[in-house]
Amino acid sequence: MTTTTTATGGRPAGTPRVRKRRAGGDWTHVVALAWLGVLIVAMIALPPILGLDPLALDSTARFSGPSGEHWLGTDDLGRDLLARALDGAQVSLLVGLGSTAIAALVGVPLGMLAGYRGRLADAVVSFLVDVLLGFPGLVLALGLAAFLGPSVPNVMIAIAVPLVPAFARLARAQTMSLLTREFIEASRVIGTPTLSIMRRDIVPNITEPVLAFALVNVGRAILIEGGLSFLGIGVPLPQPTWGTMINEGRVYLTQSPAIILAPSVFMMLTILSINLLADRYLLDRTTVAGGS
Amino acid sequence: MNQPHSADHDPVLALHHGRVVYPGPAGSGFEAIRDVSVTLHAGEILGLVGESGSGKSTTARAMLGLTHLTSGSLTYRGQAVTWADRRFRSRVQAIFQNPAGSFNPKRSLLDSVAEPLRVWKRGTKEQRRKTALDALGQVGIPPEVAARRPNRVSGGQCQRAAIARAIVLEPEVLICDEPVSALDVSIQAQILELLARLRAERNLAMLFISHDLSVVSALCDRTAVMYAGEIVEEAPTLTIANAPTHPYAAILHDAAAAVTPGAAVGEPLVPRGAATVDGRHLAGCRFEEVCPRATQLCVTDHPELTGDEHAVACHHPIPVAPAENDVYVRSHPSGSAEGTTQRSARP
Amino acid sequence: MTDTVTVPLLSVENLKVRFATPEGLVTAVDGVDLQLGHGERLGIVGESGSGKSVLIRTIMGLYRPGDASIEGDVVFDGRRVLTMTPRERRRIWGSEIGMIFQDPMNSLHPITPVGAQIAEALRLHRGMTRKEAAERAVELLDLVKIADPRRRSRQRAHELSGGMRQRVMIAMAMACEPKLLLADEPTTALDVTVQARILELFDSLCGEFGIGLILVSHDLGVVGRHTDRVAVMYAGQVGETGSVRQVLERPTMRYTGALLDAAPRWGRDHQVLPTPIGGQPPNLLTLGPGCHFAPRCPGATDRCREARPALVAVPGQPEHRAACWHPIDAPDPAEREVTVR
Repeated sequence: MTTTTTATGGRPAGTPRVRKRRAGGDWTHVVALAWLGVLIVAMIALPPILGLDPLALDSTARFSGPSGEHWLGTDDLGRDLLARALDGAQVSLLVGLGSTAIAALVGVPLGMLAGYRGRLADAVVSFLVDVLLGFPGLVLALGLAAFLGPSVPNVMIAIAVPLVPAFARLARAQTMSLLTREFIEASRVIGTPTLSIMRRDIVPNITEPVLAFALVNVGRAILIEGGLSFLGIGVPLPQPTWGTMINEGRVYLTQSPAIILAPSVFMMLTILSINLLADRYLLDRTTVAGGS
Repeated sequence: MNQPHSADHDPVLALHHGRVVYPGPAGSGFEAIRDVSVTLHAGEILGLVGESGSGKSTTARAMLGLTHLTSGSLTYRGQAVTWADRRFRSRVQAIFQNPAGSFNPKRSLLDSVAEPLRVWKRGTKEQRRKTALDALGQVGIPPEVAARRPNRVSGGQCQRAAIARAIVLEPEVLICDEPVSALDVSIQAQILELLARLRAERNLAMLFISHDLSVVSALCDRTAVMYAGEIVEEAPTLTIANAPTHPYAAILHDAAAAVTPGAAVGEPLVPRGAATVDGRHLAGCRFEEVCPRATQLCVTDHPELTGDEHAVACHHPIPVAPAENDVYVRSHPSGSAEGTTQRSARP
Repeated sequence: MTDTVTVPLLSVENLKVRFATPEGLVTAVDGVDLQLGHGERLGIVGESGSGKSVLIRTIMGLYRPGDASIEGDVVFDGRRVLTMTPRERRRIWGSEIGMIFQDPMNSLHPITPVGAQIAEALRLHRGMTRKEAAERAVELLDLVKIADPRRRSRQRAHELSGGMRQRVMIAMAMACEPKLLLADEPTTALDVTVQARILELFDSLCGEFGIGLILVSHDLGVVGRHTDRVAVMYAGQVGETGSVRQVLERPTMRYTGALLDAAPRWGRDHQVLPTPIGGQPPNLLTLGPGCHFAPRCPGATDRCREARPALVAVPGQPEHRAACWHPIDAPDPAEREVTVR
């Protein structure tokens, strides 16, 4: 921001600032994608290649530091931390994606119905949403998990239920803003049946914001899963998850911080990556929307 | 006067004494239109002029069956149309103001134009594609443009495609809600020409809504002027364009003349208040707070729309000067109390 | 207001503004020359893509170096706007140059009362006290003919009607007695009856205070009635310029004529459909070497497609210049179909 280009020194083109911002976004976005890629590849490929077994006890190497045999060291029972972290990644990603998908699949149609139909449907859905939002999300998930009993599907449901209202609200708001657009009116004038309008006009146009929102929630769901497992009401033992690993390592925090550090770093990097991707996705959407 | 293009005597679509109240907070309602009657004949274009908030769009939505009538009725070929009557849906089509906004941004123009045929299960997919391309061709959209999404074409092209979508089902009625307001002057003229051509070729009945009297004057056979949810004057277009009798129509006329190149402006009628004051709350004439000709009668009595060929809702319409005079006289009704001197022009 | 003849209030010389877009380099303003005297009203007419808004935004100095590449010169009251620092620019915005945009709602602060917004400019540029400024704000609202100005000054933007908001914008632009008023489609968003009264307000303010006005509009009628001189823009260039009478009554460039014929109007005893201009608005990415209007011009010849006509004086009419290879032969004004009442 010094001076303007003047009479004589006119450059052929000013450097567009938009592009610069995008380049900055690209960098973090690539790192985030790279981490998730590495995690997934490692999750699938490393255990068979290295012969990792998350449950194998090695009594000769309890609390061992990183070594050629145990890359990240071992825990109190001599189990390989890398093996457990990677095995836990499977559960965490499954629960994260699965519970978000459940929440979206329930919440979005409800929200669309409320937004499109208005009146009674809106009143009923909004009431349910308000009631659900009245509970603190984590407490609700806790209660549900405790009530349903520990199992992977139950954990997914327990995490999904508190997320449903957010999806319903988003879908309702998006649908209502679409309803003011003339193309929906145009479809109605043609005589398009309501279901067809929802499927062909509304769904494609709310997919992007819903996806971006879902991505953020995958991170949150992984976090909640960690919390539930940490409290011992999540995924049942002996299946390792990042949450249970942190819980188990708690006792040995001073003795062997690696036990907590390994799952924590995995969790942090994963959630950070997902959030960065979500941010980038949201940003792209807004710049595109603003430009057109 | 304009000869109506083989106007049938029976109206195709008619709104009778339509009233629409939008529910408001705490039981209050907003009366968007009150006692509005609009009749559309085949081959005739009716213009509806008014400013924002006058109820033009609500009238259009009511005629499309998109809004519940609080009272009054809508008839298609003499038969009452019930809410969301599907048979009527293919016969009455619409064009909206925002060209790009009336297309699904995720689909190509061709897809959207073929959509009505899909909904009505006309022909095979290939036939529908051909019919849609044909309709697009008729409005001057070549196939390569038709394959684009709405954000990749100009506003004028989008509006043409919207017209193609509206005619692809061969409707009898076209409701156009501000179809040219968002367009450049040169493109606006293209769309007006296209609409005039379609009316002649297909004997369409049209409702053409605009805030701009000059646009309406160029295209429409009859014109109705709306104010605060009511029709205040309706007459053959040239009558309203050249010698409006309702004071509001005269103010609109002056405003349009003031920005029409080369138009002669006589002494303008000066509104007493902001012309956007909404008189829906008034017991008498809704235009009374603004009207330079208002008297005590206007405060107490609501004027009804009277007259046949030239209907006006005013206690003190502006008298039309003899034809040989170029400027008609606008005298204030003699200040006598109660303003009983003049009544509506025709019984 | 003394050197009206010798030193123009504003002069724009061979101005070129280019933007880099993902699709390529766009020349939005391509070699525009303009002059505006004190108290003079200039209308700039054009359709979308004509570059009229970019032109006045450049005159204001609203583009930063990263936004656009700008060549040429803009001299306002003896100072070169393009080489000013951001600080110097901010000092002249609001105090010497007033700006009015199409949508007043976007330009007004949503929760500050409108009177306080006007007062703020006065305190900033005129160093008035809070009390003086508030008093002056009420006077200004009265000047722009807002009824009950004292009460209105305490209201917020959303409590006012569209026309009243635009009046507030004008009051704000007038606050520091600017020498130049730039208005970009100031009445497009308003109802027609309000539009006429806002434009009359411009007329009286410019006449009374000797303010130079540049009025940008897509509407020939608006410009024709409320300015002294007109410049017609097409695809970034001035196609025709002259006094309102010269340009609107005896258009010489074919685009001006076509634009006039495309404007809807009505006759006394028969209806006339406006004559459309064929084709699409110009695409600035794919301009040919010839006259930019040639692809849409019914009278275009090979010459028009190959070489660009220069803006030259129309024979016998001083100040009237047009860029056209095949100028419209001066028609009899009476022949043009424009009658009302």
